[in-house]
Amino acid sequence: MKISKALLKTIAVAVAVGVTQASCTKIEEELLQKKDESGMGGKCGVGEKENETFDCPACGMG
Amino acid sequence: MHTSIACNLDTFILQTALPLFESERVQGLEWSFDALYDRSHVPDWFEELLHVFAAEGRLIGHGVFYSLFSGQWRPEQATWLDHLRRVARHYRFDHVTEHFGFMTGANFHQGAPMSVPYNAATMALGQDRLARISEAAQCPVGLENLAYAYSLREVEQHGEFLARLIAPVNGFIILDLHNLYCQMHNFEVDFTDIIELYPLERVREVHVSGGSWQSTTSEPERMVRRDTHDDAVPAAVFELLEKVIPRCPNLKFVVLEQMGTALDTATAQEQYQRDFYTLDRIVQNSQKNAPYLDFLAPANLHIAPDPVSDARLFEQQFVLSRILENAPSVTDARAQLSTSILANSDWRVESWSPVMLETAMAIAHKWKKSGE
Repeated sequence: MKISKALLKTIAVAVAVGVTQASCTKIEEELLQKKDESGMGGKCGVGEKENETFDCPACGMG
Repeated sequence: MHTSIACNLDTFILQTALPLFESERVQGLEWSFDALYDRSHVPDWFEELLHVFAAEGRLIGHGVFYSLFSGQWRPEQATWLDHLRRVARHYRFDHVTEHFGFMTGANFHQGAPMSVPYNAATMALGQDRLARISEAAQCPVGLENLAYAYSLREVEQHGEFLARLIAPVNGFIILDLHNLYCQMHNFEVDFTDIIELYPLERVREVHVSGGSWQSTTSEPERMVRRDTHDDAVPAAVFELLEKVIPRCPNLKFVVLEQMGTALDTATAQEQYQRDFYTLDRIVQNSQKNAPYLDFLAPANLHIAPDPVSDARLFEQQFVLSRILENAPSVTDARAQLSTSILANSDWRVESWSPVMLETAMAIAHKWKKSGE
């Protein structure tokens, strides 16, 4: 698929400044406390409650 | 057939995929649309990326948290369907998929998908839940084969059960080759035997990924293969792909999956990119006719006003989850199972191999809510 250079550049910038991530991972709690500067957002299962830190258990053997 | 990647709003995945996007070799994108429950929207640039693929019919949705086989119908499942309805209308998925099984854990978004007994009650439950996905998504829907199995008997019946499960919605299956690889190793089954157990004309998507080996105390001399999505694709899985493609006449998407957290080094990212190009070469070298099944649900698909639920199944799942998450040892877990409501039932806990019970406990522990 052809993706415009402008969009690729935007993704590159977002990735470069990203400090957290959003999906399909169980992540360290300290990561969640870092400020989201990239627009990458929070992650699934990360709500207001403390310790809701995991996300995607994948396909059953993870 | 489209060489695709599983790509979510994940720094390391996007960082790794960027050169692949630039090469224009990524022909399809699989997005876990339910992995952002705490956000009302995705960033504009990610939305644009999704729309680029959607515009060409190359965006596919992959759900994780619906918990198809939960005995209890929960408000979170209705919310999940509402969310799917909205995103499917907005992004136009070519198809939508979910995982087989029920989620361990007391709350939504917690736990890992585990299997259920293959009986009439679970079939009715699963067909009802899948029909609701179909109605919400308004596109073809499918289910992925599960990597974990309690017993060889379950491995042998999984494909046939999946086939009957998807029949009312004219659905399809994702054949996850690493999941198949896990089962081949963990239950010592040959490819030629296990592949015959799946409805291959119903395969519309194939997953390719890596995993890890886990030692066990139950059988110290033996390693269990787990689908952890955290390492390179084994050569054996690529070999499975080469064997499977010619046998799946309706295969449309071949997807490379890896966890973002496993792509945090340049070495891992380069390996992922090599895996992608290996996968792409296999896809491009495969001669295939166009798929002949559209997998569209019948216009008269029946959906009951109230979702099917099963209180006894829910109780069994609750008990099993608690044992898997909290038992201090495999021996203790077996003892608890033998005196629980799962004993002498369709769960056939008496036939579960100790090594796979230990693996189930490891999975449940991993995904149990931290701090609980």
